[in-house]
Amino acid sequence: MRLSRSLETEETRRLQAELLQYHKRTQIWITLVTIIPSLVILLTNDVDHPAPKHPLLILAMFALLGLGLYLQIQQSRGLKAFDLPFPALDESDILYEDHCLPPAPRLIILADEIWYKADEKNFLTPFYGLEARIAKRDIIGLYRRPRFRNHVWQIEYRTSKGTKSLRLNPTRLEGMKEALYTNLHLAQVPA
Amino acid sequence: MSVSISLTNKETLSRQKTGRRCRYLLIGLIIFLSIIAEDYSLNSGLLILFFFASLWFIRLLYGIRFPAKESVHILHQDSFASGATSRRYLIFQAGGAYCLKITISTEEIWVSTWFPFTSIIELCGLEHRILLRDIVNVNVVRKWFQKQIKLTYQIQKGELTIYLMPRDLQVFYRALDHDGALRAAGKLHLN
Repeated sequence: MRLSRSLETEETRRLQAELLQYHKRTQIWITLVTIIPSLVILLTNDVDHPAPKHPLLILAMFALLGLGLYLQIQQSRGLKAFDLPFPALDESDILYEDHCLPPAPRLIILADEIWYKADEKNFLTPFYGLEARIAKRDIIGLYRRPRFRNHVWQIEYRTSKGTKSLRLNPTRLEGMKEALYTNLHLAQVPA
Repeated sequence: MSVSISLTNKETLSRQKTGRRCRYLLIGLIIFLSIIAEDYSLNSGLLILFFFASLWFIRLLYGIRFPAKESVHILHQDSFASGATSRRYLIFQAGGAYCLKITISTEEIWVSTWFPFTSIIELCGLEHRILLRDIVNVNVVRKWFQKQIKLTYQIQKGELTIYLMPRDLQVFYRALDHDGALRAAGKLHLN
């Protein structure tokens, strides 16, 4: 989960650094042990060779490749265990709510924060990497931009390591703009 | 690569010069290689790849060094802006559409881009680091049926003009003139 600068604490920073380190280390090991050896053997297999590799070996390599990919996905699923929880929310605080196109997370706009929160964390959530909690005072850019055949909303915000951006593709727009611009002072100067 | 006059020192000047020389040498080398490509069966796709990779590497070595984002207070950022420069760079005068990143902090304004356009941005002359007090003039002009911001600033050899099209003009103005210094000095002409 991404947090904007003012929502980060020493504890969350430490947790995120640990998570990233764990994630990188495990992925490197899975790739080295399963994916790379299986790919090397499968790609160097020459069917016209006088002594081709045994079919069982090829089958085993496919199985190893499948295992490697499965472990990668499982490992990514395990990421959510480290995720920082969203605080409890009163329904009356919600200014706007939109179930964006699945499996994208749900957009919840509050008076001072914007949440992008997955309802049911499936294995695609870490790949999206989009779960975010943004304080409105950290937003430094908010605009619509064309993307393919439609328009998307782009939010740029400060994090402890610089800036990040979040692309929103809401399914409906009624009330969204008002909710987004509530308590929002872009460039830190009231319009 | 252009840096405003207050940020120019011996080191930046020598880096600018070396970078320019490297780019000219690279263009010469690519022309030479493309002439002899047929005799030595060189792959033209690989040549193009080598050209862009080398440009990216030259920019990495001799491009503008922007300070870390966490060390400055960023007021506004627009990652999908458009723009052009008034200076002629061979055939590369078309500018960039929806690929410029404009960042305004309390002290400076940076014009840059994101990967993969980072490799050709030096050829187009669209990378700038401008100190706000070096800005000479900010005008709004109409060009190609849309509003553009014509920003002139001081460089080592006189003045340089760039045309910018941020996605949110009002927020751009507010961030640029966040302390009212530009308007007070009569440099901001928005009509």
